[in-house]
Amino acid sequence: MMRIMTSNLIYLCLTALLCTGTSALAQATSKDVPLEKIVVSAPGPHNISYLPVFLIPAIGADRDEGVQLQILPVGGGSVALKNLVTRNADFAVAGFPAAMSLHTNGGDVVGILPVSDAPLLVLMVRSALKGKVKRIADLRGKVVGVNTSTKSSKTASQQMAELLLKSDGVDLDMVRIVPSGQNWLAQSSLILTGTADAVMGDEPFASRLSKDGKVFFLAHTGDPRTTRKIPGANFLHATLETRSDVIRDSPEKVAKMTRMMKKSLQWIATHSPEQVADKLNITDPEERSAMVQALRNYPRAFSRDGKFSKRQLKDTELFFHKSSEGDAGAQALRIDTLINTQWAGSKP
Amino acid sequence: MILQSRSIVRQAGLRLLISLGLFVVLLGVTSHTLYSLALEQSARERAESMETFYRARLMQVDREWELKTRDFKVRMEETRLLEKPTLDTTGLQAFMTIQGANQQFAYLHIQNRSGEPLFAFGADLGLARIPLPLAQDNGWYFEPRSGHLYRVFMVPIWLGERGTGRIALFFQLDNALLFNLATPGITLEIEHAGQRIASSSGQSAAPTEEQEDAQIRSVPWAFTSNADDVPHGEAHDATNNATNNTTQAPVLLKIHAPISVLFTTTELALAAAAIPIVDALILWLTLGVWLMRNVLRIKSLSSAVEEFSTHAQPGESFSEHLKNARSGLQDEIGDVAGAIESMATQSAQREQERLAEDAEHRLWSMVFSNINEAVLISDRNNDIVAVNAAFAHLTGYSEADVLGRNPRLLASGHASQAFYAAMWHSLNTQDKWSGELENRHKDGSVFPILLSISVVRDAEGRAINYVATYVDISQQKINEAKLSYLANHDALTGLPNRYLLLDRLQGAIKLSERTGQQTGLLFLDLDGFKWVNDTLGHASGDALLKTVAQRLLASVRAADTVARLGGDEFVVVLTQTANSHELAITAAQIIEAVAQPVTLAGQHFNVTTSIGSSRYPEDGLDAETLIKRADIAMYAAKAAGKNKHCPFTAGMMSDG
Repeated sequence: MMRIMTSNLIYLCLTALLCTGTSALAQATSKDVPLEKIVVSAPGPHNISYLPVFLIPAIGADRDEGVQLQILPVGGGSVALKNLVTRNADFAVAGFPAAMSLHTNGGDVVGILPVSDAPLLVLMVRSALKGKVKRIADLRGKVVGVNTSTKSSKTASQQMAELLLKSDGVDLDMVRIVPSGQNWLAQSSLILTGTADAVMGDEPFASRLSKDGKVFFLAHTGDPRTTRKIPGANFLHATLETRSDVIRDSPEKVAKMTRMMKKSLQWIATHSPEQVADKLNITDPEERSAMVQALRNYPRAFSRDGKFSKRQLKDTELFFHKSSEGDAGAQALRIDTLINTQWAGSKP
Repeated sequence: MILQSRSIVRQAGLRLLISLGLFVVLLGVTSHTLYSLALEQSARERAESMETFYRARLMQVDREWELKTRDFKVRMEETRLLEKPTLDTTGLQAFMTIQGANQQFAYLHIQNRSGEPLFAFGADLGLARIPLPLAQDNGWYFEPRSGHLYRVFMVPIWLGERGTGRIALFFQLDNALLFNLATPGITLEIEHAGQRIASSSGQSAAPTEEQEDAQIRSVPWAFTSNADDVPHGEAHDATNNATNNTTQAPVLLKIHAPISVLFTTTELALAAAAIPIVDALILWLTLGVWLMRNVLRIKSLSSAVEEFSTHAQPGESFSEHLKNARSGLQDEIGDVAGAIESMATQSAQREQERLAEDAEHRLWSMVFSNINEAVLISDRNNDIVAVNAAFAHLTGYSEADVLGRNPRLLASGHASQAFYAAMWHSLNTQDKWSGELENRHKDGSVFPILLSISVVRDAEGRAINYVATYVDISQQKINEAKLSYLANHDALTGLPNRYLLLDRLQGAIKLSERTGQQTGLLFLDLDGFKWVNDTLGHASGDALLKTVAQRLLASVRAADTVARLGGDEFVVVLTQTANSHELAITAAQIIEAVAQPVTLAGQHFNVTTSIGSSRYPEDGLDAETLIKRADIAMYAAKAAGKNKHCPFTAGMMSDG
């Protein structure tokens, strides 16, 4: 018996040594292997909805996968999607209604992982119009900025803006829609210069402008009073998307990207807003403060498990159909045909 | 059905398969070669067209960017934001945002007339100034950190009190640009200093020059500068660290024109599978069916011949096979089938005839062997070729003894040359001869035969065989002799009867006529014979007559004839008698001999005879006359007292 125990002990020790050696060898090897370049395009930077994308290299999730992640920040989800379909990027993170819009116009796009859990869009009006614009209907004759759309894809921001306007009886030809971008400079400049009277803005930019007294909120997707008026208002916003040829030709790349994104989401879920801000190296105090505040205000901003929710997909389809009334092609589109749950998984 | 290795069906099938295989291989190789050449030619032409197209397209892109630069410059001047003493960067940012500038170019840089930066928008390139000399309105900028390559267009811009500065727009040569430039099926790449900068195919799966199935063309991206003295890709004077990044190497647009396949792999696979099948079907329908049908027809011919060779006569299956071989077609196989049928029919007919001949031959052979008549067959040279058993039995010669020998070995030597000449004459003229002949037995004995000879001739009339049949007529001759004897002799005494007497008497008369000698005739009648016959019985009478006959024979010469006419009357013919005296002596000797005692029934008796005689030619010239007159003379002797001789005299005629 004693001899058997001794043998087992020696065996365990040898196994441990072998594992250690193998691990060290693997690490050494991984250092020598050139990193695989993956390009992802997303609105930003420092847009809370797309924050997990920018967090990936910050937390080193890409290098853990042997990847060098290159991020192409753009002014809107539609531009990110354009980068995707025009091969500037392998992946895009954009609102999924925008992806559906793109698909309706012939774009090849497949959703592979939900990034956000709830849309964070704010219809803000510059403060100078306070008292004149009290409700959405008062935006008649005003200039409204929305996240930049493209010819082939209408952003979720624009879709939401149009639905909000319609919900309050404002015909779209009674407002001037201008592109606003999805970063601080773009959105704030429109407000501060008065170039736009209202902007369908993103967080934390909207909260930062509000805190500075530059804007007031007319509608907010985190406000039930707003979502009550919009069918499918809890739609799937930021979503990791790719093309079908990438899935077909480089499924391992898709697997790596989804693992990186899930790691980023998990990192956010397990760290404080301050840690997130620090990790993103946001040095501007106002910007950092706004980001931390927004992260604190919207704990449901990001998907915690990175799985598709059937409920949310249903809301997204409903939202898209509502925003594209009169477009037969869009009405016929079913969201299931654009979702691949192979890597992310799904839940009720 | 297992086909034998030599089966014509198998051979035809193998050849058909080999032909089909070769056909398919050649067709495949030819098709593949032609297909490849066509694709290559098509791709080459397409690539050349693409090269021409993209030369123009790049110039067009350059022109568009240049115009966009000028257009944007004008727009910015119209806002007059740049004329403000304190630069309104927020307003400029708002202008950029609302213009959707980030979708139009990658980077914008505005510098004052001294080259100091005033405003920048877009990508973070960290440039302190526009990396182009003032005299140049466009150029390139390579950003080494990102590896991005930019096309730069620079134009003067009004800055108000700051004077005229410069605005430069940077257009990135990225994947999206190439994706939008690329026509379907074409992959575009931007290559700079041997490094791939962008590809219309995206981040991965970029085509390489090693790919065999693509035509590759490189189009240099020329400057659209109005400064003709500035060569492409030449280094330019620069005044800051960014100058190092101005490109000297040519920027090439590489066009990958894949040899676009006309068919997908599935279609090719289907075609590759379908073509042999279709070819095989066509070959089978056009040649295979015909070939196999004719092979089967030939096989039917073979079966028919085999059937006939087995059964030696055309049966139902033979006809069926030939019918299958003909198949209602009037071709060579049909002709062969007809010839085989004709041959078989004739052969069967000949076989039947042969069988009949055999039967006949066996019959004749049996007859030949078993016939009682001896048969001898000789050839044209009259050498014996066959004899039967009867021949051997008759002649004592076995077949081995006589084969090859001439029949003359059987000759008795009794026949004359004339006899044989007559016999051959008959054979030569009438093809037959029949007659009696004597043959010599092997033991040397001679025996009479009845010989029949027939001549067998060939179609040309030449004698080829002589068939002789022998009948042994020894017994016939004996029987004939017996009959002759019985017909000419008295059964009781054995003496010539009246018929022979007359024959011999006539012969003697003829002899006398030739020799001139006399012929004498004695006519005897026993005296008292009636008494003996009646008293002692006929047996005694017959014994008496036999005794008298013996005594008469003993009383005359051998050349003389003693005959019994009937009853107790005897006649003796004496040839070459000299005269009446000799006749009387002979008569006296006979009287004496007859008068000798005779023992009849145990008792001695004395019998006498009365004799009358006549002579030729004195008493008559013919036999009947001589006998009649001797009879008359005998009655005269009777009348004279019996036991006397009385010669005929003319006076006896008148007495009677």
